Amino acid sequence: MARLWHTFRSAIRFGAIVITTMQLAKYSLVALVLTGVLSLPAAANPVRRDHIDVELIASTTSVQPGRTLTVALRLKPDEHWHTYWKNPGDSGLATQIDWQLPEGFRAGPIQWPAPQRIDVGPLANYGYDGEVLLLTDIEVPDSIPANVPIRAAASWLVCEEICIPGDAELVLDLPAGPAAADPVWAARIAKVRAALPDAANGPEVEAVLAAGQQWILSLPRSALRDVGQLSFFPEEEGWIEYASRQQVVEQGDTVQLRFAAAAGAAGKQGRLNGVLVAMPGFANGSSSVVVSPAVTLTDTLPAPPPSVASAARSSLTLAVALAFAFIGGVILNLMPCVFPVVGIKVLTFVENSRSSPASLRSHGLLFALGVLVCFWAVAGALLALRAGGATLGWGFQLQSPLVVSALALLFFVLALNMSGVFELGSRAQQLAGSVRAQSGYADAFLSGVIATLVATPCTAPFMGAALGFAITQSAPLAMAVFTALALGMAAPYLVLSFSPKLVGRLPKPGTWMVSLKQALAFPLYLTVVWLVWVLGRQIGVDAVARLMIGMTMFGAGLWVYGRWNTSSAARVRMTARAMAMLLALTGVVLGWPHDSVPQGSSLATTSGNWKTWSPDAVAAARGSGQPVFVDFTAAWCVTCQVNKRLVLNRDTVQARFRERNVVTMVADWTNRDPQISLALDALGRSGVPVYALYPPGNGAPMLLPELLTEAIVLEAIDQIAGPVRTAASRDPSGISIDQEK
Amino acid sequence: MLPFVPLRSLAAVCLAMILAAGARAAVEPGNAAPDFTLTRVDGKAVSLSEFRGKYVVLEWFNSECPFVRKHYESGNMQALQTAYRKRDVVWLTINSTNPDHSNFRDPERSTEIMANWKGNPTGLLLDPDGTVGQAYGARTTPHMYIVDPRGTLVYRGGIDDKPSFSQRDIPVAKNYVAAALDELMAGQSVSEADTRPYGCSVKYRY
Repeated sequence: MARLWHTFRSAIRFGAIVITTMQLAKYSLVALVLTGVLSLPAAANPVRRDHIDVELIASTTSVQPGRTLTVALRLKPDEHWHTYWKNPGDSGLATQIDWQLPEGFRAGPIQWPAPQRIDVGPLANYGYDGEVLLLTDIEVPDSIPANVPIRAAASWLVCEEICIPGDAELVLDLPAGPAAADPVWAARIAKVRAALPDAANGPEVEAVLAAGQQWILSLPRSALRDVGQLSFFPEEEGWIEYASRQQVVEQGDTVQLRFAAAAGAAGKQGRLNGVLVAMPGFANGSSSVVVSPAVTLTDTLPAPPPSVASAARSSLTLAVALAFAFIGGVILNLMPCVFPVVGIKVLTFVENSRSSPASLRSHGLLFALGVLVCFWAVAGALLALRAGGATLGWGFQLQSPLVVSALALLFFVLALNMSGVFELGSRAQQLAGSVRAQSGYADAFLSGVIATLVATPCTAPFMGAALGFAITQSAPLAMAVFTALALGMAAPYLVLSFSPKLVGRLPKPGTWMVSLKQALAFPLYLTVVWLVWVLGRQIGVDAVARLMIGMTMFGAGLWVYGRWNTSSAARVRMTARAMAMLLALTGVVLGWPHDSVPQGSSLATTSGNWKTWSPDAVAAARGSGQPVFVDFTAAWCVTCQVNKRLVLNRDTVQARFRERNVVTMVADWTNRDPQISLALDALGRSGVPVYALYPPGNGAPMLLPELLTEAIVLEAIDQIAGPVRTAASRDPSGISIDQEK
Repeated sequence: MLPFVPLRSLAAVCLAMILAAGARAAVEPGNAAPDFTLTRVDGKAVSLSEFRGKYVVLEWFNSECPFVRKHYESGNMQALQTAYRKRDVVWLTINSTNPDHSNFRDPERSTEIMANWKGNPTGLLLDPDGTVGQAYGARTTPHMYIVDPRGTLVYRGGIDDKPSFSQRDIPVAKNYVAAALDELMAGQSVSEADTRPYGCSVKYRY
C-alpha cells in the first residue's frame, strides 16, 4: 500500500497522470479509479519510479500547425544506475516509447544518442550511465485542436547491480500557437540533437571480417581529429562479441579498429550497421557517426599491430623525447644492472690516466662508439622484428633463454678473468702496471658493448617515456631517440676523457688496481647469479643446472688455458689450448638451453595479494568500481625487483592497497607475452618497469615513475582511489534495493 | 620453490590457457554441448551426459530477475516445462548467480521459490562459480539452450521474440523454445536456431 500511496501523492503533487501498468497490476481497479478522478489537463512533471526520474519534455511551449515538434523522453536514473541503447548489448532492454497522438500527428523513431559501454563482469552492455534525453520528432498537421495532448507510454529497464523494469504513461499538454522556445529545455534538446551520431557526413569506413573471428574497421586517418579512442557499437545482434576489447591500430594513413566477431558472424547477411564513437572526435566536428559498411571476408587474421595507439598514447614531442632519452641514458649508469660494469670502466680510465690526452680521447670515443653500435644493433633488431609483426618491447632479448644463458656465460668468463684465473695476451703486462695506451682500444670498444648489453634490461627514470615514444615512430626517428640514449649513457665517460684535469685527479695507477680488479669480480659473479635466476624463472631449475654445469666446464677450460698457456714448452701449450677448447665447447653444448622460446606466464607464481594480470581482469575490477594497480615487471628487470622488495611489498603500502580496495595485479613479462606488449604499447611504454594505477570506471590510468618510493605510491593511491566506498553509499536515495521482488 | 618438473608445469600452464580460451568462446548451434556436472538444490549431482538419448533444455535462471519473473508469474515457463517433460524432454534450470550477489538464493530458499511458483524442471541446479554459464556463453536470465539426443547444441537464444518485461506480450510472442522442440520432435531441423536472448545479465562473479 505504501507504493500505491506514493504514486497517489506524487500524482496529486505534480498533477501528472500516471498509470503504472506492472507494479500496480494488482491494484489496477484502484488505478483506474484514480485515473478517472485525476483525468485533468496536466503538464508532465518528473515521474519518480524506482531509482529513476522520467519526464516528457518538448523544445517549444506550444505546437505550431504544419511545423515539426521535437519532444524528448528524459530519463534520469540515480547515480551508478543506467538505462539502455537500442541494442542493449549482452543483456538489458532498450527503452521503448509508444505514442498516442491526436489525429494527423505522426511520431518518428527515437533518435538515440551515442551509447556508452557498461562492463558487467565478463559481459558488456550498451546504454547510458546517468541522464539521457531520447528525442523524437513529431509531424504536426496543418489543422490542430486548441490543446494538443502528447501521450507516451514509456517502458524502460534501469539497472545497477540489479535491474528494475519500469513503465509510465506520460502526458504533455501543449496549446496550439506559434512555436516559442521552451526556456528550460529548448537549449538542452538542441545540444542533444547536435551531439547525435552524424548520419550524413561520416567518413568512408571499410569492414573486413578476418577468418570469421575478428572485425577490422578501417578509416582514413584524416577523418579523425587525432588518433585517440575509437569504439564501435553495432545496431544489431549477432555481429560482434560485445564484451571484446576494441583495439586501435595505426597503419600508415589508415586507422583500424579491431575487435572480436560474434560466433556465426560470417554467416550474416547485409551490412555492419552501427555507431562509431571517436575521442577526441572526427575531423568533421562530430564525436560519433553512423556507419554502415559492406562486409568483406578474408581468410587470414592480420598480424598483431606493430604499434598501438590508445588514449594513453605518448604525447611527447621529438625534442622532449630526445632530451628524456639523453637524461635517461646518463642515469642508466647508476641503475643496479649497469653498476658492476661502471667499476670496470672507471678502472680503465685510471689505467690510462697517464697516457696522452689524445689517446684518452680516443679511449672515450671508442667506448662511446661501442655503446652506440650496441644500442643501434639491439634497437635495429627490435624495430625490424616489430615491423615484421612481432609484439616485443625493450628488453626483449632477455626474453630469450639463449641470450640469458649467453650473457651469464659471458659475465662468468669476465669475472674469472678479473679474478685472475686466466689472462689474455697483453693484458698480463697491463695489469703489471706498464701502461701502453694502444693496447686498450679494443677493450674500450668492447666495454662499451658490454655496458650496453647489461643495461638493456633496465629502464631508468625518463627513459621509459622516451622509449615508448621511439617505438611508435618511424624508424629514423626511433633510431634518433636510441642514439640520444646511447650518447647519454656514454656522456660521463666522454666528459672525463675530454678533460685531462679531471682524470689527473684520479688516483695514480699501481698494484692496488690488481686488488680492486679482483674485488670487482664479485659484483660480476652476482650479475651471473641474477641471470641464472632469470633463466630459472623462464624455463626452470633443470635448465639452471645444465647451464651451471656448462659454466663449470667452460671455467675449467679457461683455467687449463691460464695455467699452461704460458708454459715454455710448445707441446704443453698446444695440448693446453686443445684441452681448453674441448672443455669450453663441452661447456657450451651442455649449457645450451633446450627449451626454446617460452611464451606466456613465467614459472613464477603470484603470491599474496597479487593477482595475475589480464586485460579482462582489469576491466572487470574497474567495472565493479575498484581501482586497479598493475605492476608490469620481469624477472630480468633489476629495477623491478628493487621496487618490489623495497616499496610495493612493504606492509604500509600493502595495507593502503587493502584499505582503498585497490586490486593489485602482476603482469609478468619475463617471457614473451604479446598481450603484455600490447598493454605496454597502449600505455605509451615499451619496457618494464611500468606501474599503472587505473581509476574505477573508464578514466585514464596514472603512470608512476620507474623508481618508486613509498610516498609516491601512497600518494597515488589516495589520489585515485578516493574515499572508501561502502555499500551504503551506493544507494544514496536510501531506498531498499530489494524492490525487485 | 620452483617446480621440479618444469616441462610438466609449462604444459599445465598451456592447458589452463587453452581451457580458459575455450571457456570464453561460447558454443554455437551445431557444436558439441560441453558436458558439466552441477549440484541440484536437493543435493544430488547431475551431469549433462547422463541424459544422452534425450532432448535437454537448459534454462538460465535467477529468481530475482524481473524477466524471469515475467515468465514464472505468468505461468508460461512452468507450462513449457510440464508440457515438454511429458514428451520425455529433460529440463535443467541453471542459476549462475554468484553467492556474493544480492540476487543469490541458497538451495533451501531456491527450493522454496520454485515450489511457490509450482515450477516443474527436471532439476534446479546451482552454478555459483559461473563456469557452466560461461562455457555456454549464457548472457541473460532467461537464456535458453536445447541439446539434442546426440549431445549437439541445436538451439541457443531467447525464450521468445518479444523482448519485454510485460506479461501481456507472452500470448502474442513467438516462443522459440516451443517452436524448436516441436520441429525437432517432428524430425525437422530448427529453423531459428540462434536468436537474441533478452533479460537481466547473468550475475557472474567478477
